[in-house]
Amino acid sequence: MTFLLDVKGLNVRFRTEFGLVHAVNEVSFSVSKGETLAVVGESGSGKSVTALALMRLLDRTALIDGEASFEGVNLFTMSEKEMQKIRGARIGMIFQDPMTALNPVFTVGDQIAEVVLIHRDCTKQEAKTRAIEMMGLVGIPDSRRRVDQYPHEFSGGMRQRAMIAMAIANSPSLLIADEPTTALDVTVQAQVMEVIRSVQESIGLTVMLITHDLGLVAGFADRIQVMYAGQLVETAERDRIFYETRNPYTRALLDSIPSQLGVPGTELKTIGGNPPSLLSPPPGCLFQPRCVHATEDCRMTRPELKSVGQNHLSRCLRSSDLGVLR
Amino acid sequence: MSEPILRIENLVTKYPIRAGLLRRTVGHVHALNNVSIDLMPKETLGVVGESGCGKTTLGRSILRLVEPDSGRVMYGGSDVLTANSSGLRGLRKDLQIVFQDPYASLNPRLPINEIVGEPLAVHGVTKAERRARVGEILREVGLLPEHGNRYPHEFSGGQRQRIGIARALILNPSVLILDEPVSALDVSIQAQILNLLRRIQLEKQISMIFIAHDLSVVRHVSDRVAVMYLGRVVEIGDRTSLYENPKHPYTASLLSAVPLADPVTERSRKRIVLQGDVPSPAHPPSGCEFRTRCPIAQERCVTERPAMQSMEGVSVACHFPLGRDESLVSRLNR
Repeated sequence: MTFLLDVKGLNVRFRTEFGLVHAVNEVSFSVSKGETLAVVGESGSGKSVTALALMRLLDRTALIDGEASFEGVNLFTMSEKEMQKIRGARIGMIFQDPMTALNPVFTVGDQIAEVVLIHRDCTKQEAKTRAIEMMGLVGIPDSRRRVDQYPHEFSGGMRQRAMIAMAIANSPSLLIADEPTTALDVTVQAQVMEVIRSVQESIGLTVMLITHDLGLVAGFADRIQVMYAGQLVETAERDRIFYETRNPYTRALLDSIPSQLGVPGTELKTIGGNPPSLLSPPPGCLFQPRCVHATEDCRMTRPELKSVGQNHLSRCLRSSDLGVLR
Repeated sequence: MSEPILRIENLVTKYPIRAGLLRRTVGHVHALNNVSIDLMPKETLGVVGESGCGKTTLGRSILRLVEPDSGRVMYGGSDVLTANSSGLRGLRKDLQIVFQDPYASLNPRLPINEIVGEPLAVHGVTKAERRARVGEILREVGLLPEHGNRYPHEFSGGQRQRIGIARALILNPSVLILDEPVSALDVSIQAQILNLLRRIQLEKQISMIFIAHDLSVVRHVSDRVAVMYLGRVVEIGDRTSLYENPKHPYTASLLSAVPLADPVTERSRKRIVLQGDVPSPAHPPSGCEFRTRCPIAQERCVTERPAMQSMEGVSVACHFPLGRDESLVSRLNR
């Protein structure tokens, strides 16, 4: 089995005036060619930081260690110059807020063409043609005319499509989508997810989808990994995460969504308390103070990520005696 | 059938569009266009719609935080919209609002005691009594009285939203307007706040208008639901009918776009993906506002705006509403 991306022992720490913040701790995972991996977690779980670290987009306050091999090279040891050849060419990325990610003083077409010009030996005209082609691919109607428009002339959904066009203009093998639809209305979200799916099929893209929305993941991901307080707590093929949940945090997260299928008006299950401070994480299991299954042992011993089934890992001391959580 | 506690009648709120050097008014955006809604005692009315549909303007217009242009908001025999400033102060005691962003809606320079106690001060309650009442209400929303001496930045998002709720509850209102109260919060914290609101409603028997874009959340909390599109209510009815058998094609497509956290259901669903975006409210389409995106629009929808009609327990503004047990998918395949 060859992986497109193989991350081993990723740690990200931020230097702050209060001390080191352990944002990502010993995260290891791999993404196979063509699959969609969803990284799910709440704010502060480290899901975005993981993506930004892989793209080497974090600033100097971040201390990164670990290994990330992508198409046979280690992303963390290459020079900035080499990294530039990967970013936007081999790995494309789209962000949550398409308004701030586009430059308001250049036309959308120029911004897509720029990405092409940087990475390819081609003329401006060829780059523009490519931009028009990409805009068509992501479903921007009338792309010949809209290529010369500015971002403010685009709606939120159209801007996100333009971002996708930019991210895939150089036919990357990996697309990292960080909360791509969080800022969008639900009908537009459905359109944008459809675009990502169709692009994925037409150019054979591998997608890493970062989101807090378990609903989105249910219809879109092949595999899911759940993060909590900078750690990977559970990972498995999609249906196993939903129907054979093994980690108490994943279970609690699933239970706290008011489901379209649940009984309205009833008390929702909640996760008491708040996530721990990552400045000085407590000993033992990081979820333990909020966990309904916690024991004395959980307070003392930090659990490891262990295999609990086929390609199914969970970080819980009690996973064998708790079994499948419903 | 009991009398509504709050009657919103033909409410119209326009925002001027200003342009040019002199900022002359060149037109108006109809943020609310003839909105009529009755709020019944002790019920929760959910208001859903996409951005720009006017749901936030609705909440603010009811309290005159933005001034509506016409219509009436009847509460306890008087019209909120024509009340003078002292009358309005009295009415606002009964009608309270909780805002979306718990980071922006609390004054960072005031301790919680003063933020939560301010409405009491406005209504002339003494300092000692204020302190006691604030301690009590903080406990009710799941905080501790000693939290009162702290400042907003010392609290997490969920706790801040609790503070916002405490501030709204301290005058014992009979109507609470909640404008996207949980959309800035993580799901686990969101569930805590939804449970808190549910408990408060059961204990205090207040009526709520719950404005949100998240249809699953609205389904969970509401007794009745109003769906808005471009400043108008297009469908309103009890929760079960509306969610299980939507009549308006917009309601149906909105529901079909919501992803469900269940892979098996997701796989078997037939999704209607609406084309295009919400049109600009400054230049709404002729006839039915929804027709430009409607998968079942016909000639008549271009020329004639549909009136609200009652059918099977809901009210719907559509020329060709979906029938009993008819889905949008089956209509399209007909």
